[in-house]
Formats: sequence, C-alpha cells, structure tokens
Amino acid sequence: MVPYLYKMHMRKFLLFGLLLVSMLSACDKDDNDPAPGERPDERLEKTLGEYKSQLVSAEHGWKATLFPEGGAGYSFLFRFLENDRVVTLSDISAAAATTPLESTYRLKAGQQPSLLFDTYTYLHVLADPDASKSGGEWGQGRSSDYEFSFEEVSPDSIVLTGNYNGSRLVLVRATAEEASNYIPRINEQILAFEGINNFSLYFKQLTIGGQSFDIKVNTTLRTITFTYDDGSGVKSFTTGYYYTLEGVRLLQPLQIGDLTIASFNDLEYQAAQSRVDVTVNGVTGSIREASKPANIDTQLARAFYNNPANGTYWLTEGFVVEGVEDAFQLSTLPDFSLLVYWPKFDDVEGTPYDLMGFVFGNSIRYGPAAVPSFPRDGRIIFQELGMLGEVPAEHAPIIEAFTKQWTDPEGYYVVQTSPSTYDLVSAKDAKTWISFE
Amino acid sequence: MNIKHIHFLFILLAVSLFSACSDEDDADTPLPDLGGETWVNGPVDSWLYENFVTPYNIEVKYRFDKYEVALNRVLSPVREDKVIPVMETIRKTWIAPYEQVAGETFIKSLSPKQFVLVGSAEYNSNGTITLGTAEGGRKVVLFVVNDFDPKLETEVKQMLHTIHHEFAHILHQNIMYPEEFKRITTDYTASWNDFSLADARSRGYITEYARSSPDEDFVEMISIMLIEGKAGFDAIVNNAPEPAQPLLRQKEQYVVRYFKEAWNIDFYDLQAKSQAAIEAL
Repeated sequence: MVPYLYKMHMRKFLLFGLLLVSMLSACDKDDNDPAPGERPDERLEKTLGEYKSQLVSAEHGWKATLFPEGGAGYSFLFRFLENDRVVTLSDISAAAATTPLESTYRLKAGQQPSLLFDTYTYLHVLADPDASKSGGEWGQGRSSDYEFSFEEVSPDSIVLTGNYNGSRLVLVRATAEEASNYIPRINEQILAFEGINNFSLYFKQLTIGGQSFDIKVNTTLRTITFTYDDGSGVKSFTTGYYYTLEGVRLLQPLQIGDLTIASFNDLEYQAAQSRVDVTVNGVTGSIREASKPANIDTQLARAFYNNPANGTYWLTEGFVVEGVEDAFQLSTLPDFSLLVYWPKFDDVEGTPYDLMGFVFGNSIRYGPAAVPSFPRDGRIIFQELGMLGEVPAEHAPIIEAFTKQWTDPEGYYVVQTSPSTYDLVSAKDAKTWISFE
Repeated sequence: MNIKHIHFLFILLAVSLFSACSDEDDADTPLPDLGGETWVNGPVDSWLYENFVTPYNIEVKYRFDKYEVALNRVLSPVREDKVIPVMETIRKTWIAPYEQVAGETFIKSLSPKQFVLVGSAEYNSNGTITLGTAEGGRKVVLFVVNDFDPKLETEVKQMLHTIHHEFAHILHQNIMYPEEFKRITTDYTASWNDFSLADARSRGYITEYARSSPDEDFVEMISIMLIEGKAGFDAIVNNAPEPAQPLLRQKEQYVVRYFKEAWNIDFYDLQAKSQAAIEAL
C-alpha cells in the first residue's frame, strides 16, 4: 500500500539487476538473484488482479453509496463483469433507477491502485462539468469523482476515495434479493419524500412531538435547511442528505439541546392531505405545507435589503405562482433578459427608494420604483412610488400585473436559501414567490 | 550528462556481451502500465481497429485517461454508445472528401495519429469552452462527444468544425500559409470572446475566435468554408457589412491558393464534396 516506494524499488532493482547480470554473466541466474521473490511490478499486478477478482466475485453486484465532495449522497448498484464492463443502476434519476447502463471500468496503478470508471455511466453525472447535467457549477459539476483508490478492503465491503476531489464511495456486497430490489426500494423512499414538491404552498413545516421546524429542501442538490427557535433566537442549519432503505439520512445530524435529528424514517406521502408522514427517533411526525413560517428571523429582511449579492443589486427572473415559473410571462417581452432589484436606487426628498429594473439586452429600460418598509414581524413590504422610464403600450398589461404583485400591501416573508441567495414569499398566501441571486 | 549516458550504454553493452546463454529470458516482461493500455476488447474496440487503425493508422482513445488531457480541468468521459456515431461521421465527412480530392496517401501521411475523445467540453476561466485541441500534428482531442447526435445538422457541423479546424492547423504547421494573409486584417485580440459574432464579421473575421490570431483566423476560414459549403459561405459574406465583404473574399482567395500551391488540392472541389458528404448523412 505504499506505491511510491514500490516505484523507487523498481528502479533500483532494474539498475542493480542489470549490473549484476553483466558482471556475473548469470547463466543460471535464479541462484544468483540478490533478492529472491516477486518483483514489485508483479506484486502490484497481483494486487490489482485480486481487487478485480473480488469486484467480479460478487455475482449479485455491490450496493454502493457515493458521497461527492460537493455534498449529499447517491445510491448505486454496480455489477462488475470479468470482461472489464460494469452494469449500473442508480437513484440519481427516475430513469437511472429502472434502466441499467453498461459501461467500462479498469483497475490501474496510478499513484495508488485505482478503480477507474473510464466511460460514462450514472456516476459521472455528478462529476459532469456541464451544469445542465450535474446541477452543479459550470466547469465544476458537483465536485465528484470517477477515479478512486482503494482505502479499506474486506471480503464484503470496500471503501474507496476519489483521486481528484476526494469523494467517498462505499461498496457493500449485495444479496440476490438486493440485486433486484435495492435501487427500486430506495426509489420508493425518494418518491415518498419528494411528495413535498407537490405542495402548493411555499413553506414546509416538520412537526415532531410538538416542536415545529421550518424546512427548505433542495431535492436536486439534496440539501435541507432547518430553521428553528432554540429559545435563544432563530437559527438555521443546512446539511446534505441521502436515501437509505429506511428513509432520508442527513450527512450531519441537527443537534438542538438533547434532540438529535439524524434521519427521517417510515416516509409516507399523503397526497390528498399535502402531507408526508415521518418518524424521527421513533417519534411520529409529519411534514406539511404552511402559509407562513413557524420561526422567523426578523433580521433577515434587512440583511437581504442591505447586502445584495452583486454589490448594489440582486438579479431575478420574476415570480413563481403555484409552481409556475415566470408566471407573469416576462420572457414574452421581446429582448427581455432579466430583472434587476436595486435597493436604495435613489431618493426623493430624503426617502430612499428601490428600483425593480426591467433589463432588455444588457440595459435597464424601465421599472417600477417602490419604498420598502420593514414591519417587526420580519416581512418586507414595497409601497409603489411610480414608474421610472417609458413603458411601451404593448408591455403595459404585463408590467401592471407584475407591479401589482411586487407592491402587494401584505408584502413578503424573507427566506435565505444559501449564503448569497434569497426567496421572497408572498405573505398573503405563500403561493407566490420570487428568487434572488 | 554525458558521463551518465556513457555509463548506461556501457552497462547495456556488457549485458549483451555476457548474457549470451540466458537468451530464453523474455526481455519484454510487461511492467504494469508501461506496456500500453490493455483491456478486454469489445465491439467498439474492434470497430475502431477495422475502421481507423488498419486503414489509416489512427488510434482512437475513448476510455478516459487523465494523462491525455488537462489535469487541472473537470472533464467527463465519453458515453460508449457515442464513439462509433462520432467516428463514423468523421470518416464520412472529413476523411472521405479529402481521399476523393487529394488521394489516399494525403490523409494517411498528414492525419493526426491519435484522436482522444472526451465527453464534456473543457471549461475555461474566461467563460469560454474548448471544443478541440491539436498537439503538434500528432494528437487531436475532441470534446463534447456526449452531446453528439448524427441526426442534428448543428451537432454534426460543430463536430466537423472542430476537426477541420484542428486538421487545418496541422496543414499550416507542415507548410506555412503566405505571410500576406496576416495583414489582410490586423486587429487581432486575445479578448476576442468579449465581442459578438456580428462585431467579428463586421471587421472581416469569419467567427469570433478567428479574431484571436492569424493562425486561428486562417483555420477558421478553412473550417467554416468546408462545413457551410460554397453557398453557405457566400451567404455569410453577402450578409456581412459591406466594408467587411472584400476582406473575407480576400481571405477566401488566400485559402484557395494555399490549398492549390501547398497541397495541389482544388479547394472548391473539396468544398463541394464535403457538402455532399454532410448532406448524405
């Protein structure tokens, strides 16, 4: 397991060996071998061979969980074949869970003996630098791996570490039964939990034993944010998660006093009630939709207002209404590119006002101006001031509808969705929201 | 340096002199990963052997090997089922027209000896992506193979654009194009990607990237003329702002003359055959 040393030895052996051969003219060289036994490259070859036969020996394949360095976790079922091919199922998408994909693998000595998945399969989606495939960053993907070194090897389990990003891949030998139902059963858990995506209201509340948490789940990136009040104020906690046969497991448990939440088990989606039943530590609870948050960080509205991600402004694509993106159809305006929300754009008689600028091409053409207010309950409310710039008559209906929503007198609850992204959620009914980055 | 060299030679010589009686030893003991890549060949490997190695001595490397590509970039391997469609398209639309116009030896002697296929694009820090690279006329790396669809003309053209571009580099690395080409337009810039296609065209460049340097300009001209055909290229020129049109025409003439004088190839014939090959897909 110290391959760098192997390589050094190998070189010395070669030189040394050549010298001896030349001096002693070894006709019967076996007797004169200065260090009898397997050569380093033979040992390496043997190690790789052993790893391969172990991988292939699992006739029902291996259950696997990949933890990309970028967060969350994904399940796989790999069946390694003798002819350097591998058949994969995964919980990464509904299609991947039902359609086996065959690709190639190799065992190769790099810096360490490594397992390489050297043509594309479901595992590579997470490492794909094309953000439209991985859901991660352009040029980066989800910071995952497809070339791994062997860390720990026992007869029924293998732990590997990604050579590039250090992701972790854990393989456990599967049974005949698991070969056919492991991924489908995981997929059932996903379908149950992702029932929350069908809720029509923005807010989701997890209630266990009388305690309520606001949760915000990104089911694409598999991250969850809990917002709760621990008695000393409103706090937030975000972690990745993955699925097990029992339900959802958090990468880092949420710890509040004596309470630890490490997983949601016994998931059941009750579509008619817009509810997902769960158990946490054996206690029954549920995730329901809600029209307002249970715990509000009253500082958040001002934090949003005062710290635009782009220096002086925020960018957004408009309102989502009951799950329908761009509900006011701004994208139908010719040349429209996006909206710029510019807090403190200017002031009238000492009162600062904000601009919601409509950008066409790459310049702001017009937009409603509004004066923000911050009630103590944590909302932000925009009071209409007027229109800056000229709105063409044919744009007017869309702009009026948009402005009416933007300056709704009940205002918005502010939700932080990542260090530099926020959602504003209509306080009227929580069916309308707008995301800023 | 020299001393080491002599020392080493001496040892080798000694071996050959004294080890005469151990000639059954296999001198070719395979060292792991030093004897080339080995794996169990599948249908893709046999297809590539029959269609690229045997006739053209071109190796197509499709199994991901990080040492063939930039180590500091995130890339993804190819989908196996994309390999044959991509390479078949390349054979029909790139190799075949050259064979017909320039004869078989032309492509055999000048083609890159290795194609490396990569599934994704290579993402650069300036917001651009790399679709292909050529190294010293020997190796061409083709990116975004996973998005290839032989039924989509845009995809075929993009792939072919890359190949024609890289192959044209090989041509001018063998025989340089005339100096005067570099002086037709002179506002080449490293920040070419900050300008739109319309802007590039108005300055007499066929693409945005053509503006990055005379070499890129020359090979972009060749590539666009071959993938768009005569009619397509004429349409581009005629739609360009008037002052730019003679510049593009002048560049076209340099390309045609270069093919004739350097390689004895009738460019318009090659252009017509390339078009026919794309349309026949």
